[in-house]
Amino acid sequence: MTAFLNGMGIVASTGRGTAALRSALQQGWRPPNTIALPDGRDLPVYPLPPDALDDKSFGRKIRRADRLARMAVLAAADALRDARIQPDPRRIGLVVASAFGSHATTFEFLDEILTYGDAEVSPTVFSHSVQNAAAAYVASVLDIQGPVMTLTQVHFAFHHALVLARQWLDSGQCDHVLVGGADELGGVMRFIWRSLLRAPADGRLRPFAFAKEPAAIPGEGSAFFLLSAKPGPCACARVELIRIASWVPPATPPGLHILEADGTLGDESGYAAPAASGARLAAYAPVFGSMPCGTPLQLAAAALMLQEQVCFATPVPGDSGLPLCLATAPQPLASIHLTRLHCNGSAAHIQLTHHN
Amino acid sequence: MNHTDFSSEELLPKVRARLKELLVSHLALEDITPEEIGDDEAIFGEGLGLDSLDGVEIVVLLQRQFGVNIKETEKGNDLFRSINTLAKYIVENSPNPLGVPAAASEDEK
Amino acid sequence: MAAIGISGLGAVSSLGNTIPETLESFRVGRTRPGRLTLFESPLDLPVFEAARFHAEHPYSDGHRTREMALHAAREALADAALDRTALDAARVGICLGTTVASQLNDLAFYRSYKTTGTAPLAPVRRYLKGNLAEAVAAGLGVRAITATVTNACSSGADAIAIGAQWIEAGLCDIVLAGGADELNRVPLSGFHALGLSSPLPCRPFDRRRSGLNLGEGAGVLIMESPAHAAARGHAPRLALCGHGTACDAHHLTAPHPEGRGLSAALERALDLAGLRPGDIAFVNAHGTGTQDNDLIEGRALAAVFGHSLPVLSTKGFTGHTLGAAGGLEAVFTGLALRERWLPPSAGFEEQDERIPITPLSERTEICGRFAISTSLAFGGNNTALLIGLTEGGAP
Repeated sequence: MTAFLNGMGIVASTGRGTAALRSALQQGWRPPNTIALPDGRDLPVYPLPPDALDDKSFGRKIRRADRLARMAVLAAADALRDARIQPDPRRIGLVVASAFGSHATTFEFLDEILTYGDAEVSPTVFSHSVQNAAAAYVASVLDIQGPVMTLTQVHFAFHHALVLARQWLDSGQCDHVLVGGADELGGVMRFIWRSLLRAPADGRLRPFAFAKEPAAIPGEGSAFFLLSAKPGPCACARVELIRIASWVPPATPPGLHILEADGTLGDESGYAAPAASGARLAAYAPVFGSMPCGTPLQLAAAALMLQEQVCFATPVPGDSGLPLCLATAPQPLASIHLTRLHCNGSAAHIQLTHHN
Repeated sequence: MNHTDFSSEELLPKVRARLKELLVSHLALEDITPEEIGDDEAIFGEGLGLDSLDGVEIVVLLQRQFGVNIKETEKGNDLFRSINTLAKYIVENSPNPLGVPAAASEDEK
Repeated sequence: MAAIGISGLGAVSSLGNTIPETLESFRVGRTRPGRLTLFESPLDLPVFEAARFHAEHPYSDGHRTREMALHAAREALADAALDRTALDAARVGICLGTTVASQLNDLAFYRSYKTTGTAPLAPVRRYLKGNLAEAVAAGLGVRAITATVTNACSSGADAIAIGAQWIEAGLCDIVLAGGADELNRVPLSGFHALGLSSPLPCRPFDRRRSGLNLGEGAGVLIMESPAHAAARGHAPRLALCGHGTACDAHHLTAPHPEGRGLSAALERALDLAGLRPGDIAFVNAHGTGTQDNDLIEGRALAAVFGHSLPVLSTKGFTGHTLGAAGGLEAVFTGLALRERWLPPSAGFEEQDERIPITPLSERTEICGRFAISTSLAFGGNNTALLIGLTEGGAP
């Protein structure tokens, strides 16, 4: 069954909101920030802008929330506001996906153990280090009394979240589901990225290089969507397909095929197959940075393009000879397909179609 | 100056002030200043409106800042009723009722 | 909903390494909180270690949760008479709940990073490869859809509900679902800081209860679509007949005072199963032994089922196994239905007058075919699984 994408919210290195997202996509590639690590090395990153999480409108409700929970609350609240729907609290569900979850607060808790000892640690830090703390905040701030789930895994967490959201809608358990993903770039995680992956010398991710050892620039952020059984006043797209399987070309070539190559997969040569599917191609990781759970941000870009019937130029095209979207221009777009690969060879697909 | 330079009566307002600062900073009470917290204002429920998670966090705060360990049996008492009752408990039981100096506690965060 | 066959059960906990050992422990009424031996901690809190597992499967750094999950999974698959050939020919899903296995909480790694700015990467590589559901798929050598649920204390139950939905949606023929968690310094210290841990053996629902004891283990069900079971001539004796999950939307660590999420979850599970409260033979409650949980859960259960429904908490036998709890307790619920008896609610002796239910204080025969297992989590998640005994093999 079709689900309708009725609203979206985003807080990422592009800033907060869809206007900021549009500007960033129009701008294309921009240089990453450079952060100095404690061991003296540098790391290029795409972090949230410093004021992205400033918001006093929630008052005390999020006073203790950590950065990850704040991102999720702001993006989810924006999605709900964007939809202009007042759901029955018992008929709306929530699924939060993350690759690394509340790692930063987990390390903060380990710090508590080292500094104060096991018997004198902060209960607030502990309770925020549990993986579903962000979801708990979103649920209590937005009064979500239906099913609430958190899925934490490096690969395809958001795709599984979408599958679950669709099942809740299809089964009639929910009228709406807020579904999204969030990942932050804490201090220890930066050290891990720097140690495990190499950064591109010129600060550009190259999604169309299909490299065996791609470069990566870590990003962070959150995007949420209100998925519903029926279209609302601000419906921007229909979610036609979510599939997790081996790569199989879509039955009808989409108006645009977004490849989610972003440097987080050890070997990106597998993206050559979906690239050869014949559809026009784009890849927006150079705008957001590398994120194993980056699909929500890419989906936000896709939804924006469908809503505004515009194709944003792919930011780092390279000279692959592939049929790329090279110029930002108004474009009739009936559908957009997104493909992300797993290191085991499977692929996850989402297809959105335009909703008039 | 050391806390032993003060009498209990002189200590109490200093302890109350320090306690208010610590509650505002450690519990992220962004909407209130220490000066706005009443001495006899209820800490939980109506009043300062703190919750159960703040309650257990205050227990840890008292351990770290003032070296007092609240026993399980004391938790239900009037001890946590207001800033005043907490301050009195600290003056009566703490080896350093003025708390860890502000500069040192900023370094912790 | 059309009932989904439960073809196999597997369990590891302080009660034993297998289902027969588990049953024997319930029969004898053995409870085993003991001192912590698995790692160093200054906290002297009683815990339920899976001692027999560690005696036979020596501790391997950073992998205990996976090892226990694999062990329970293999037992469940054998119970279901599903071998590699059968799995290779089917569409398989693996959905597991956990807390510890999803976190990079290696203290030595962090200590090194904090003091020197650098740290060995082996723990990180282990973590990146350690997604529980994927690791179990790899350990079994099975191609499967995999998902790891991190919903705190209801993760195991939630994973079972999600797995059932994969079958309902036609994504899978067979799903291995449940939860696993090892004892770990982080939750041990954290629950103590929250004032939720008891220095004594836990007493779920008892007037004198003073908190929870942590435990560890893995509980796994094999669920199978009716079509797949029929095609291979297998008649499961148990079935998942309904499930419900709802959020309190109230507070990060405290349950809703009126248990509204739990009531909604119970209502949904009954509704899906097409049953009424009177059809339920017993409830395996979450029953952690904390003041708040037992009071609120007890009241909510009484409001839905009345005061005389048989209720027990098995956490007096296993401790609170966090991500494993929902999986283990679903297994125990299925076992009880199959064996037709319930053990007493270990740790309960004295009624709390404020709690309108009275847990079982002795071994009790079961009347009826259906039962519910509840799980309540941080963040206000409430999940109810409704399990039934099939009639002559047909759900």
